[in-house]
Amino acid sequence: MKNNFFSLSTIATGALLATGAASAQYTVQLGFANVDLGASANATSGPFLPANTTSLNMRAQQTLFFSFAREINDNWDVQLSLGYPPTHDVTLKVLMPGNLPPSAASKDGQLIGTVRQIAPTLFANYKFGEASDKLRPFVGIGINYTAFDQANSTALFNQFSGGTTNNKLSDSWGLAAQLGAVYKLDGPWSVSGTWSSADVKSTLTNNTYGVERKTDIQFNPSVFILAVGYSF
Amino acid sequence: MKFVKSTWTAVGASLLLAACGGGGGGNAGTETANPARGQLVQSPPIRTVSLGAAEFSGQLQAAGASGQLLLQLATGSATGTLPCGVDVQHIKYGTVGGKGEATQASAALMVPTGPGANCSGARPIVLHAHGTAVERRYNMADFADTTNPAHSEQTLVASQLAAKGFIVVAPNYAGYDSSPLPYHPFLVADQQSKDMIDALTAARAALPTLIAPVSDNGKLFITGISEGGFVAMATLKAMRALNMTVTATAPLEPVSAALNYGDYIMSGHVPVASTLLLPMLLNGYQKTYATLYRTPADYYTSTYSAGIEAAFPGTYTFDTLVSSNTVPLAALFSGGAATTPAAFAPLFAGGVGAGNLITDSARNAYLADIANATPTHPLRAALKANDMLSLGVDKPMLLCGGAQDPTVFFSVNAEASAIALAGNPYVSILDLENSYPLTSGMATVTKATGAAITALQAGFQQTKAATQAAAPSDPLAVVVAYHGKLAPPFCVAAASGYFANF
Repeated sequence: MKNNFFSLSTIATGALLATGAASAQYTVQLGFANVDLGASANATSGPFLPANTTSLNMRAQQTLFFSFAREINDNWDVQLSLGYPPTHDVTLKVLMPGNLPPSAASKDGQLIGTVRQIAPTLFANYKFGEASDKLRPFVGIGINYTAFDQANSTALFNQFSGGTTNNKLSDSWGLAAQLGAVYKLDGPWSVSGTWSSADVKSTLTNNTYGVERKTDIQFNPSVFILAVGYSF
Repeated sequence: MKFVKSTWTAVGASLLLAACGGGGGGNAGTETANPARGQLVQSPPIRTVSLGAAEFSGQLQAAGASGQLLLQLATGSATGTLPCGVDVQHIKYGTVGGKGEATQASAALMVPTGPGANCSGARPIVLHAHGTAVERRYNMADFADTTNPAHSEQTLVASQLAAKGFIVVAPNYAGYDSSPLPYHPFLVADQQSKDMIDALTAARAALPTLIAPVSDNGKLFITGISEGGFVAMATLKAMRALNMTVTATAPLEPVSAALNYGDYIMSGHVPVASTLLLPMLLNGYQKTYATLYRTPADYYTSTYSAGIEAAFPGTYTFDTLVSSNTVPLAALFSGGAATTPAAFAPLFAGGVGAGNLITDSARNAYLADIANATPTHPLRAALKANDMLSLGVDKPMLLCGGAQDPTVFFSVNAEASAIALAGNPYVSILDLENSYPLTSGMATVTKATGAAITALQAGFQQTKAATQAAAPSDPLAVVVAYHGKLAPPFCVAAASGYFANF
C-alpha cells in the first residue's frame, strides 16, 4: 500500500508538471466534501458465523477537500483531487436475525468500527464554453485509487466477534467520473460545485485471534464538493 | 506562491499520513506455529458463541422434541430455563498422533456464564470425549453451522453440563477439524488419552484469558460417549499413571472391552453401523501400528478396498459413502451370522450377505486366533493392547448404557466391565432399560438407583416409544436411533447428576 501511494503521487505530479508550458495556468482548490460511500456489502462469511446472517453499513462523512489542476488548453485540464482522509463509521447489519442468538441479533445497526479512507483521484476534465465565460460546466473522467486504513473495532464488535478483532480492507483501483461547474469571481478566484463518483471494490477481513472472516464490499461513492479556487 | 507551497505541504502530509497509516488486520493474540504438547496454538482463543441461559433455553424449546427433551433432562421441565448461560471457545493445541508424531488438535472449551450461584468463579471441569464421527469437519466448538456433524452432541453437552455449571473441555480428536493429522487413531488408548490430557492442559491455560473468565476449582470429571466412553477410560488410566487428580468418571455406552467386542463382532454378532466401525478401527490401527495389512485388500473385498482408507474419517457422511458404494450399508461379512441372543438375530442376519465389506480370509484368520488368550493376530493384539476391561478403578465411576444397544453391545462392553469390576466400591452401572441382572455376574454389581435414575429410565422408554410411534411402519426406527440418538441424552444427564454429587 505504501508503494502504491507514492507511485500514485509520483504519477499524478508527473502528469501535472509534464505539460509545463510557460503560459499554462494552475488552479488550486480548497473546499468541503460530503463523502457518501454508498457501500453495498455482501454477507460476511467465515468460521463460527452462521451463513448469510450479518453484513455492514458505512456512514457518510464530511471532510476537507483540496485539488491541484493544470490547464492544458482552454477546454482541458488535468486535476489531482485529494482530501483530508475521512474516517467513516461502520455499523452492523443483521440480515437474518432468526439465525442468530437474540443477544447477537439485537446489535443490528450498532457501531462496530471506524475506517479511514484515502482516495486520491486523477481526472482529465473538459470545460464547456469559452475561457472568458464566467460560468463553465465541466465533466471529467479519471482513475481512482482508494485505500483504507485505521480500521478499528469497537468493544461491542470485539464482543460480537468473540475477541479482539483487527481489520483490513484491500486497496482498490477503478474508473472515476465527475461533473460540475466553475464560476469565476474577480481576479484569480473562483468557486466550484462538483459531484463525483468512482468504481471502488474492497474486501474487508476481520481477524479475531487468527480466525478470519471476510466481507466483499462494492462502493458507489457519491461525493459532493463545494470549493474555492485560486488560479495563477 | 506561498499558498501553493502550503497546499502542497498539506497534500504531502495527507499522503504521508496515508502511507504511514496502520493497515492492521493481523492477529491480536499470540500464535504458536509449533506448539508443544498441551500448548495453545492461539492465545487467547476465539469465543465462537455466547448464549445466555434464557436464549439457550429458548433455542432448545424452539428446536422441537429433541430440544425440549434436553430442557426436560436439565431442568425437570420441557419449558424450563437452564441455570447458566454458556460461552464456547475453540481452542487448538499441540498433541501427538498415533505414532507419537507431533501434531495439533482442537477442542471446544465451554464455560458457564451468568449470575447463577454455580455459573461463575471457580468451577469443576468435565473432560468430554465424543462418539465416533465419519466426517473430519466434526467440530464441537462450532455452533453456527447446523450441518456440523457435532451439532447434536455439542448441544447435548452444552445443555447438560456447561449450562449446569461445569467447565467442559471437549476435544474434537486428532484427525478432525483443524488437526493436520491425516488419520484418526480410533480406539488407540495411548494417543487418545494424550489428546485428552493435552486438551485439558491447553484449556486450563486458556481459562484466565477468556472474555468471561472462570477458574478451575480442582475437581476433574471425565466422560465420553461410545468411542468417547473408551477414551474416558483410557484417560483415567493414563492420568492415574501420571498421578493426576480425577474426581469421578462416567463412561457412557463405552467400548470398554475392545477385545471382547472385536471377538463378538467377528464371530457374527454384526452391530448396527458395523461397516462404519470396522473401517474406522482398521484405519486407525493400521496408521498407528502398521501391522494389520500390506494393502487394504488384505481385509476389504475388491469392491471397496480402493477408496476406503481416505474415507474414515473423511469428507463425506456415512450415507453418502454408502450411496457412492464406498462401503455397503450393512453387509459386513458374506455369511455366518450369529443367532443368539434371539432378539438380535435379525440384526445379525442383516449384517451378512452379498456385497460384503470384509473378506472371508481376513475374518477366518481373526477367528482362528480367538482361542488364544494372548493374541497373535495383529488386529486382536491391537485390540488387547487397547482393552479397558482390566482397568483399575479407585475413583467413583458410573457406567451407563442400554441393554438393547444394537451398536456397542452392552453385554460385551459396559456389562462386562461392570462384572470385571464387581465388588469395587467405586463402580456402579446404569442400564437405561432397567433390565439387569442380564447375567449372573451382574448380581454383585452395584446398580445406580434413586428417583432421578428411575425418572431417566422411564423417560428413555417414553422416548423409544415416541420414536417408534413417529415411524410406525419402520421396524428399525428404534434400532437405528438407539445408540447415537436415543441413549446419549439420558446417559449424559445421568453423568451430569452423578458428577454433581462430588
